[in-house]
Amino acid sequence: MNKSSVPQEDQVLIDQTLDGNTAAFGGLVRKYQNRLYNGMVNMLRNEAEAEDVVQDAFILALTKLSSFHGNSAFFTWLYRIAYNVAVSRIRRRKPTVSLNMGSDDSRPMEFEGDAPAPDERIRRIEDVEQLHQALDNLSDEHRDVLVLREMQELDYEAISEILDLPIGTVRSRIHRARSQLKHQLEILMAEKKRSPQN
Amino acid sequence: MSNLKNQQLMHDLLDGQLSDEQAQRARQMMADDAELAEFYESLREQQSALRALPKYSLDDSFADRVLAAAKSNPDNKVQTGPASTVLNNRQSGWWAPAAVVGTLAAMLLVTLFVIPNLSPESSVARNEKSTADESAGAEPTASEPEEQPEADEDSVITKDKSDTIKKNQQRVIPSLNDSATDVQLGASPSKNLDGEKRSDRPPEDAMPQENLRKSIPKQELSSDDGREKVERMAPPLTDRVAEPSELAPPQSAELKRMRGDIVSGPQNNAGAQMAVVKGTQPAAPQVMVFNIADNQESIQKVNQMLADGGIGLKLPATPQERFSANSEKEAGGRREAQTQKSFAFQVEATPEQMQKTVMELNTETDIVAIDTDKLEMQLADNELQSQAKSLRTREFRRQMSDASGSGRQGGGGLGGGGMAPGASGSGSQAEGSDGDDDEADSDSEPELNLPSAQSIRDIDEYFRLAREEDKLAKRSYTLIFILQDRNASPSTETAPATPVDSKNK
Repeated sequence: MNKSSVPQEDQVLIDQTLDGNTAAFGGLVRKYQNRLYNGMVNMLRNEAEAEDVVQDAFILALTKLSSFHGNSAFFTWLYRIAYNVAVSRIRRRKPTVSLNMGSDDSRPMEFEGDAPAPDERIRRIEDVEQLHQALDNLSDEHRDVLVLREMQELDYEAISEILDLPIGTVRSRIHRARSQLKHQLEILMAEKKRSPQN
Repeated sequence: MSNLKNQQLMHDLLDGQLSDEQAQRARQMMADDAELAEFYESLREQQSALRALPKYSLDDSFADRVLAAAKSNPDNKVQTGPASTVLNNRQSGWWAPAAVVGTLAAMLLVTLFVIPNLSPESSVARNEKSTADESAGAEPTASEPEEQPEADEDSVITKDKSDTIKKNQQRVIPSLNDSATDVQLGASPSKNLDGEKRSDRPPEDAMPQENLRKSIPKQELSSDDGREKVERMAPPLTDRVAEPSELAPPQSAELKRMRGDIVSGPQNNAGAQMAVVKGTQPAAPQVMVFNIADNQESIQKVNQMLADGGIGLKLPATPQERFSANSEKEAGGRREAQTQKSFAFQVEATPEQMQKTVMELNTETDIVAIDTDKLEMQLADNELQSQAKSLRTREFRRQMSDASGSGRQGGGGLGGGGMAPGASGSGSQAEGSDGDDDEADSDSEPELNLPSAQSIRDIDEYFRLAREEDKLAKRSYTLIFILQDRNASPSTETAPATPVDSKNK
């Protein structure tokens, strides 16, 4: 087994879990839950659904842990499971399900860095909403690849593994996705200029 | 604005994909081109904005909930035991019916490919009607998009294989075209070659598709020279479908992933042709069909290539061997010996091993085979997709023209809607859309799975990707060799068959 891709810390937890210490898996959950959750929220555009997916993914990862060979990072493997679960959900759910990420205040949004001043915060929330809206307007495949690259900060190889695409395709898809996002943001900004009162 | 290539360079720079030297060059270009610098800056700002988006978090008790949920369901136990444990947990799930569907689809593919290429005397053709009937039911199901398995099935499969399959175990399933034999594409690798009862066979009541079940007479065959025993897997290909229980989950899952596309190439000088049933994963093709000229020299060449590749298969080269590896057939009240015309092997090999073998065959016999899925993606990377489609369409038409000239109908059968007018225009349509979407491509282009002049490179690239994905794991491959009478002289060894034309409809 090639374990070079797996950090020692993860490998210890994996080994312990496989030895029957299921609680050790809790360490892996705690380590990756938020990162995975963020990816799924951005993919599914629904926090509750994303939480379900993350939970299902962790449970599946637990049951299939013996099949993890360490050829990739644990998170990549985990993300791929979650991605497959999410794709299944997307296929099953009704097309009318639509989410407005910005309007859901059920969970705190955590801005990175120091807390911004009120004015700055409002502006940033507007920017965030605009960015989310632009992301919503992207095709699923473009959004997914941007989430993986820009938000999850995964490299091409990991993205390739998760999406089951050749690296070259990942590369070209990222390029297109960025261009599409830029285009969407330009459209939204133009609309905003036309109706400044809004 | 800078050209597309320069923009791509900026993307690559942003993603850290350039070497130091390339990055230096890119920065120099930005220094010389304000517009390019502005483009890069906009990319960088956009990336920063996305990375600065608010983070969402789960509460601290989430991990406890996960563990509690895992414990609450006994099916969620960590599977650390042997592969059979893993398999048993899956037997009542999706894979059993999927295995049937996958097998039906795979058998259809083999049948579609085999029948047009066999000599008219092939007895497979005698069963073509029943095959078509079975296949008609299987094909649409197999071609539908399948629901994602909830887990990383590949990894499970790999583990299962490594635990259950003996090293270098090959199953020899003689005679596709013999009415007493069959190819089981999904036959369990755990099944003992010597005919011992399998231990992982699920209970009878777990088997669906009762109407598909038929008894499987077995016959142990041994050649005169004491070569390995082979197990006969009767009845004929076209008369039966493998039971779910006969399908090893690895194969079943692999077959499940198959879309039912078959790629075939033109015949070559040495008389070999290969078809690849492509999967949706960057893995080696699971089923490969080789048409070989029915002469001793070609068979020996292939044997040598297989041996060189470490596959260790051996096709019976001499007529004597082939007679001995076959049964007598009851015909018109008397028994006639039949020469075996086809051989199926199930082998375990790493993608690298298989690459070596296929490339060997390719070198020696000009095998033309491509996996269009990979080709699409690779070419999309180079923005050449539309050109590729056009190229393949032209090639397809050329082949169809050749085929109609020689009276060979195989391409039409495989191409399906490939002859639809306007096929050549689909490439430019796709170009306007997102070129990297293979699903979108399939919407805009008829199901043309055409050989390409770039096949050798494609195969190489295909296997390179497969190796990248999983360098160590062995996979199960089904290799089918069909001996073909290339000079079209009527064979005296088998009985006349019904015409094959109807099969191609």
